[in-house]
Amino acid sequence: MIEEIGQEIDVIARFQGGKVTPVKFRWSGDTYFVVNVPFKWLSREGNFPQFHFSVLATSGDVFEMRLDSQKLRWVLDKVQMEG
Amino acid sequence: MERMILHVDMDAFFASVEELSAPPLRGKPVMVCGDPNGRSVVAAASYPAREFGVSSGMPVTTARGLCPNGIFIPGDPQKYIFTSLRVRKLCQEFTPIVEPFSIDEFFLDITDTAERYGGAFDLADKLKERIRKTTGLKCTAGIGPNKVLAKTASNLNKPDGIGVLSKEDIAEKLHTLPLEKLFGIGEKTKSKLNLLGMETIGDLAKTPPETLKKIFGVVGEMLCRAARGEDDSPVIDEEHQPKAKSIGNEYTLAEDTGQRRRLERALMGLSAKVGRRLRKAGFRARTITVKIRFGNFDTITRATTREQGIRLDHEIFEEARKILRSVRLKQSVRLLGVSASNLTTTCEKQMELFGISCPLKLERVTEAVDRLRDRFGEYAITWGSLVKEGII
Repeated sequence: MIEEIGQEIDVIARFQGGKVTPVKFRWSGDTYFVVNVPFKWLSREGNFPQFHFSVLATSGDVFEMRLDSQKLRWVLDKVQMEG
Repeated sequence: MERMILHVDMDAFFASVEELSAPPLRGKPVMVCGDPNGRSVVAAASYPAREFGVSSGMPVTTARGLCPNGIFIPGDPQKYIFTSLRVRKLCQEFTPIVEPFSIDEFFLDITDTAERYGGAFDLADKLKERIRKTTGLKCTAGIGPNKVLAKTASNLNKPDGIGVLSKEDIAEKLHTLPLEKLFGIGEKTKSKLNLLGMETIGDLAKTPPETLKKIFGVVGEMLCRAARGEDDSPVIDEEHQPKAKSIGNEYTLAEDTGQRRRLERALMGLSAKVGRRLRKAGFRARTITVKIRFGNFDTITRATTREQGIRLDHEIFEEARKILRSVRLKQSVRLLGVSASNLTTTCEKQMELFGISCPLKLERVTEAVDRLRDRFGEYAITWGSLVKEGII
């Protein structure tokens, strides 16, 4: 099941070698650890790039989040629950 | 030297990108659509979904009936555009002449570069591998001496294949195929050709071009040439693409309606989108066309042409609204479209605009709004009535 979220979330991310990778994040009172990032893409909102990440969490769920470079915030866009 | 054209067609593109993005989806019947709970259509179906009889363009309700346990995913254009640009860059590693035919199809002119890779087939094989390794996506390649044969070759070898159609193959491999396998023949054209007694591409090739021209106009001649495997259209890279002849947008209403107020709001949203695209491209339009599709799928188009070109949202909306008001709505409306054509780059001064005697002011307001959108994104500022209606 896919749920559209659109909520700002807290993310711990690794910035290394010019790349950013989410490591863990908190949503709805739970903390999720990122197993891997199967897909990344870029879009723009006006002049400002939005860095999108599709992440697989230890829960087995897939989360789509983005780093909004204009407001310097992380937004959880979608959750795809397993099953 | 005979031309060598390669057609690259990404396999179940949108669905495959979604599978990459969410690996648990792999191997499942995935369908990418608009609103999965609305009345959108399937934009792409994964191969497991196709086994249930689901195909692109099918209403979601029909697809759900065929594949009740299918996974319906609302499409994410940004994700697909990003991936398409990556694939295009990979194609450009093999030849500088790459023409994007759609978001998931590319024509490559490999006449001058094929030898470097050991021939056209080996180039196609290496490109497929490069795309798969870099993006994780599979594609089908078709090789031929022109676009028609290259595209037909890929159509015949989906998914994940490489096909070759040479001029020598035309009689044996092309002419025996059913009409719908030919590039350019959709369901409607096929039905018309069937009524004329044609079943195969060979039947079409044997028909005199003049007969087809009488029925289909210029397209008829093109179809006949395509059926004979003739096509001299060049592969044009994006830099050399001809400028747009028209700019248009369509909108399927959340539910069929005959309420003119709601229809006019939708028309305003469409006019704003068309206006923005016109101004971005530096055009003004002399002709505004409105398309109306009724609940029973009957579709009409009406156009109006002005002496001077227009480009402001309100100017376009006024013309579109006049057209809509001139149409008697016998049924509820399902879809509206607005398009601008007869494009010009000439900058004409507007004398008066629907009673507002200061058009320059409106131009300036529009320019300011455009600048805000350029900087902060398309949805940073819009008309309040459109937000209320959920159109933008």
